[in-house]
Amino acid sequence: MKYFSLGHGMPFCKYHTPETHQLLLVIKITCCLILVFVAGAFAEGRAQRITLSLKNTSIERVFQEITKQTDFRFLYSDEVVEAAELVSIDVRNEELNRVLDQLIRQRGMTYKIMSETVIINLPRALAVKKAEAAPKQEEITISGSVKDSRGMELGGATVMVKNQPTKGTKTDASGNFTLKVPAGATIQVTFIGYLTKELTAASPGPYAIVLEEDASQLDEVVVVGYGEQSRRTVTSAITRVDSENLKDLPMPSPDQMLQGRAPGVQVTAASGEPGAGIVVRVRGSTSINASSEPLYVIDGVPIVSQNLARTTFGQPTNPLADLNPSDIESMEILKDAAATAIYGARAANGVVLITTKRGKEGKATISVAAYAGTSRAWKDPNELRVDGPAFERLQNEAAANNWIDRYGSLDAQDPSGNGFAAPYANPGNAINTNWMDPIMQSGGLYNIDASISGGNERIRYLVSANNFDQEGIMKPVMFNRKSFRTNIDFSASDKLKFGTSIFYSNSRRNRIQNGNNINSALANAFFYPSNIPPYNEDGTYNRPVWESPLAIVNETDYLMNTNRIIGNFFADWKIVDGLVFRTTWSLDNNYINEDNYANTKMVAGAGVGGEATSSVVNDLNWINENLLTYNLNLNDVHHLDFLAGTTFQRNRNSFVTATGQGFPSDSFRKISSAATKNSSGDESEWAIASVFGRINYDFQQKYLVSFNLRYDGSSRFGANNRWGLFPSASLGWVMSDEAFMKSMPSVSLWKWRVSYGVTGNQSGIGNYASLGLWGGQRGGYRGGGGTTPGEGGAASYGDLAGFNPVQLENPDLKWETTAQFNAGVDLGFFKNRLNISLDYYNKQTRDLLLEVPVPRSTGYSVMLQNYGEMENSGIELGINATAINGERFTWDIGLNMSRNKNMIQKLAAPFNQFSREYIRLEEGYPLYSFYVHEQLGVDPQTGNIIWRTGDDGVFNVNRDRFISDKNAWPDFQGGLTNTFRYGDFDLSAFFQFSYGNYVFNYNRYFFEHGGERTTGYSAQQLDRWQQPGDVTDIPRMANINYNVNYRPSRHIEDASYLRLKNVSLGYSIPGGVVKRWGLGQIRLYVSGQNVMTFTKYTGLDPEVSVSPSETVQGVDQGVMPQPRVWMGGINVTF
Amino acid sequence: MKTRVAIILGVFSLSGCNLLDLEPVSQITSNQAFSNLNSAEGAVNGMYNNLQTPYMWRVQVITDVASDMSQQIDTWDALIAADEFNWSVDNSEVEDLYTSYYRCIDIANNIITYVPQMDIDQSVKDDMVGQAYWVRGLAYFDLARLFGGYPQVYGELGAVIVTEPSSGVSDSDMRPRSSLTETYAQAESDLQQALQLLPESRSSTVLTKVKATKPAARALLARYYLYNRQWDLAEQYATEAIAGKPLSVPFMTIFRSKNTEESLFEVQFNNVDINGLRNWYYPSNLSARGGTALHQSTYSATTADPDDVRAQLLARNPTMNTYYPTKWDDPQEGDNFQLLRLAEQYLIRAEARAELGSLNEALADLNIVRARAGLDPRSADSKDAVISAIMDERRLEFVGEGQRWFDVIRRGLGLNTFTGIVRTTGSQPSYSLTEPGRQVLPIPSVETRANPNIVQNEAYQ
Repeated sequence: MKYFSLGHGMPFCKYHTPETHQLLLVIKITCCLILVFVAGAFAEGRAQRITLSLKNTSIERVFQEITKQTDFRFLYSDEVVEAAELVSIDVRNEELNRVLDQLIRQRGMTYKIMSETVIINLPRALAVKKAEAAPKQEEITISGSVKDSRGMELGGATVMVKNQPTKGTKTDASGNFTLKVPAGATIQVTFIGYLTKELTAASPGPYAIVLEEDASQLDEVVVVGYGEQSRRTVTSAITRVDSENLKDLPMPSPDQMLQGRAPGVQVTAASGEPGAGIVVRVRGSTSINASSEPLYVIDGVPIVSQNLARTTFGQPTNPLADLNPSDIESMEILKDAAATAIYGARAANGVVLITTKRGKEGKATISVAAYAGTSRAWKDPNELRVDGPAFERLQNEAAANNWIDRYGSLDAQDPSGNGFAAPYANPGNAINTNWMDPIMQSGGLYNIDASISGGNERIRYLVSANNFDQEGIMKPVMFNRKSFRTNIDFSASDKLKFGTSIFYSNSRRNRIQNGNNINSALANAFFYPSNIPPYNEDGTYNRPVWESPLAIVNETDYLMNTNRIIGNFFADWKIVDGLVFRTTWSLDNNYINEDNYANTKMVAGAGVGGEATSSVVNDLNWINENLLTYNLNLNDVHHLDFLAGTTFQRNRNSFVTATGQGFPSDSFRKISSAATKNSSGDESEWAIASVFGRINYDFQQKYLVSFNLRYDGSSRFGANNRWGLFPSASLGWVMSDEAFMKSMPSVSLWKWRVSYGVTGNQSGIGNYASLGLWGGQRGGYRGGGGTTPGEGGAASYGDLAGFNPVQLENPDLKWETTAQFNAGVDLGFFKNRLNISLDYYNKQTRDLLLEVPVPRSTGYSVMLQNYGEMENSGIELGINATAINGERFTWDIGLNMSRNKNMIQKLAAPFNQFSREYIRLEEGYPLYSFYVHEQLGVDPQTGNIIWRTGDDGVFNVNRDRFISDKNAWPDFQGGLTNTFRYGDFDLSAFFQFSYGNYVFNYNRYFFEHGGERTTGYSAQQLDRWQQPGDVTDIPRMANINYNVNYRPSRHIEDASYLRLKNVSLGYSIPGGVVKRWGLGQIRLYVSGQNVMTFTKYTGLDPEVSVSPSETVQGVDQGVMPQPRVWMGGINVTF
Repeated sequence: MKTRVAIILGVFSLSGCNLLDLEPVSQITSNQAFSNLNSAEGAVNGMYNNLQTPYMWRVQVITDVASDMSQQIDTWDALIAADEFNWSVDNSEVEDLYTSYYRCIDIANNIITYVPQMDIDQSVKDDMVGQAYWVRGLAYFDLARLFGGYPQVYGELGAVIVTEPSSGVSDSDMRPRSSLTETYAQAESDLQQALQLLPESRSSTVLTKVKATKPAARALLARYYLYNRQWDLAEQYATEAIAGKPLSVPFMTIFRSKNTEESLFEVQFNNVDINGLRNWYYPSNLSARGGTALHQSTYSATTADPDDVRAQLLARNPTMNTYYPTKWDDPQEGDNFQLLRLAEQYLIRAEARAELGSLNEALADLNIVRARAGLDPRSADSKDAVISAIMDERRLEFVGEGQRWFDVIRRGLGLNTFTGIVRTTGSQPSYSLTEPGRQVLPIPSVETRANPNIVQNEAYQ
């Protein structure tokens, strides 16, 4: 049994029309404004009279036409269609009953109308007659498999008797089919993207059918803002990363997987902590005080990608780790203004469109994938420190040198008559404590994915589940994610489609202080000298300064629990052919609990009898989008795509934090048991409303034009500047289609592209940034080394509630504006076996949302203004090639490289960032420039530093500080992928590189202290100058070289690196074997991550950066390095 | 169809307009700050909240570490620089200190400007405006002595003087520094205004100590005239501040209890709104940072006389083998700070009287302080000897309270006293203050960059 036009899919026993009405009703309630007329339009089509004129057509076709004109559906079997043979009908405004009588009763069949479904019965006599008639034509059962020219099995290909769609089937996931056909019939095999193949069914087979790729249809479809487009007609700069490139990567979040995959996209995993923040920069950084992170859009939902945790621990968390990477079909990175302008005021940093997998027609496919592995630091941190005896010798040497500097010789006496005495009498016997090994671990890694997908022409579904566990390489760090996804597409009729994507995940993180702080476990393992024991005699932690690294890893009791729901619902209504209206309703809700208990063995808990902190964050976004698209194809010459839409988004973030101190014992860890309690909470909102449109026009797919326009209003901006207009235009020319190119058959594609447009940026600033405010929270300081007034404390005075000025009013505040020019060329050679894309871009950002420093005498430090300009320009190259394409052996190469040059062009006044003013922003210099005292070298005679000075030649610590020409920007960066396939084996090796970027090794600043501090030494200190003639850049151990106000440039290190990021070897068990086991496909693989790293950087990882922000990149202090992972996995399809 | 599209777009843009007007729920716009009595009182409390920033530890720890009182023993180089007489213009602690005073001044300017326009009781207005003048006077006095100099000892340039509330930023905000004399004069005028307007006391003892009153104004004026070497006025205001009260509160109680008879003004803290002194001094095994400690010499001087009860408020950090003050010992760091206390007024009067030649009266005041500490009276027969005894006493009485740096320099003894100071952790055997210009702190570089009309202090150019 089946509905009117369904293929041989699942029998459907529910009637969809009444349901449609119910669904519509729901929509009407939620969005009556838009859908009133949708419902109205349906009402128009509800007449129960029929006008039809068809000759010699199948009865199935008649049923379809009736269904289009009425609410009635038909339920019938294949035999009905065959028994009816060809029918003709000619009625005008006739009642349904009469039509059915004419059609059905006259043919000896009966029908019954239940609700709005017409059920057609074939009397037994007719069926028998048909069966008797059958031998007229002998039927045979044929079978076979469909593959492409490279041997890839093609699932979902259509195999049918020519011109008889009822006699057809689709291949299963392994490309196999069986079909009953009349002997000698012509069989047609079709598949999208391939040339149709015909053959004669002379024997049962099996047939090994190979489909040739259709070069004209090879152009893949890319996802663009609010739609899809053929790769061939795209005139903007978009990079697509397919799920194929994301497999075998044991990474918690999809953004991390983009590293090295797309030209112009710089991805830095700031820390090796699983689930920690990732810095993604698309074509450089456009902002100083607002955000430079791209906009992430998942299945049309712009989602939250900023850290939402209240506990910083020196590193942000990454909300994108809540997503399950194996749900992803593709990621498209929109880079130039032509691609991004449709996202208007949020597009200046590029847009990452993430598309999840959806069900396809065909029988249910069950996939299970699992992997397990283990991770360790790729470099032993012990290599970076000195042992106990060396520590004591160095301290003695510093003391001796200082004595000589002060009093002339070691034999001299100080004014009090004391002689020199070394601080450590017997360094050779010093204790040697290894602080590193007890805090590091070998972390396990486990992942399992399962999904079921399938469907028919009416309903397609994909359901997936995932469990991901990764332990950090430091104790007791852990990340766990459990997620579920349901994607459903439902065709109510030819005109109306619905769909939904519902994603739920639960992420749990155990974290420790990780980076950017003296309470970081790793930093303290360096701070703590090796010559002291780890524990006191009474068994307590030995704690000369701050927190013991052992206490941090053993005692930290922190759990962050995130529940996230991303859901959307859409309805497509085809108003007439080519004109489609879509409305989408989405939400992204993050609900986060954090619980932290500092027990009495930790510094934070000792004095107060334990301290527990709990916080709850609720971040809710809801989004509505309404799109109208119109496609026009005139004689295959003129193609016009038109898009208009509106969108509205609102975000509300609220939090409550409570702290309790004084617990009866460490067994009580919840605030309810605390002696004293206090709490805090706040909420804030933002909203953005937009109208947008796009026109794509092409002439013979050869001359391409595209215009985008978006009009955005944001609650964040001043009353005088709330709305902004963001246009873009682009042109393309497929030169290879011109007649004069026909003489070059090896060139399959040569397309020129040029675009220009304007986009905006409004993220990363306060929600009420334009208002002059007084508030109950203290503001205005950056905080120093002790108890900091900082942001966030209440402005109360003891027990008296108070409030104070928070910010100056700026009613003119508006978005940052980025104008971008892009010129590119896409080349394809040898039937697109070799593809090359080259792009040049120039981005000019003006009206920076800048916290302009104001005189402190006003009572304020900064005022947010639109001031300042920044430039990013660069080139991007992408090459994809199939080097070898044999029967048994293939070799694919993918290479991408890019270069970005960033420059601050206008700034109100230079200002410094980061601890000890180590980063300076100044006109004429790029962002992330280090601000140092330039060390020209170490005098081989004296061992003292030779400083760069001003014209007077005398080094002045206040005046002679310079912006280094070394900064965190790479000269170029990219990735290289090689994929080999030999028979059933596949091997891929992915290298990622960055060249010419520098990291400020802040660890060395502290641990190369030349005796100025009592804390541990880094290994570099051993290379110090010791006697005349020594050539080194580490100066003599003496205060004169290690003054606390010095910011020596030698700690800025070349952090260029080449990393074998991923290597993976897989084996697919041959189809025949698998089949015997009753399975579809099995692939086994082993994979390694961060397998080899080539770098001159002396720290633990060249990729790291403490609490990466818009102004701080490339600083290494106590950050957990990237793990080296080895794992094995299995993928099974049923 | 077109009309339908137009309707959709229209409806959304219109509804968007209204939905985009979002107001904060936990903050108010500037024009609402003085709309009623409650919010005006909130602004006054907010002003004291900002006064907490310099006095939660900054003035005390920064200047004590800079003097021969305390030292920095961990890695915080902003304070190591203080310890080694080696400030740089980028020093972040100096920056926060400088900023915090101007935040107090801006709020005070708002109160002084807007409260008189309110429709509330005149006595309430006078009280609030008087407190604003008092806080502003204190801020200018501190800015003058920290960044400008000391009358007749060192310095000519003072602070930038602002007396209007800030609303935006324009070229007129690029003010130059006033002279040191003008800055001190501003402080004097503000404190005198405060003395006129403030009440003698408030409804409760606590409210009297928590917020400025006439006694607090008198005490601060006495300190002001002492620095300005106007000895007769210093004696007069100290006498009025003392108002015949003896030193009746036991030394330990002054700090371990809140708002005692000893205090003329205390900066208030509680376990949420915390005081940072304990955190800097207490060692890490007692749940604190332990980044600062007393110099060995401070410990030796305080414990020199076994009868001195003040030595009971010192403890040893066993891992670093250093000593620290335990005056503020609440593990939850909610101790108040005694900004103006009676003992200081006795010592101010003693010093003023000694300068005026009344040596016996001076010694009498000095010995009142010594008596409470459990010490025998001192005698001295010359003005210099009496003053020297008073200086010694101040050093012991105000351990950790941020007086020492100013006392030594205002007496003109900076370059002599701050010589050959041994740090526990420093790499040099000892450190000395050698440049006269380093008796004041640098103007933070953030200020000189944002305002090109600011002249940097000579030692830091």
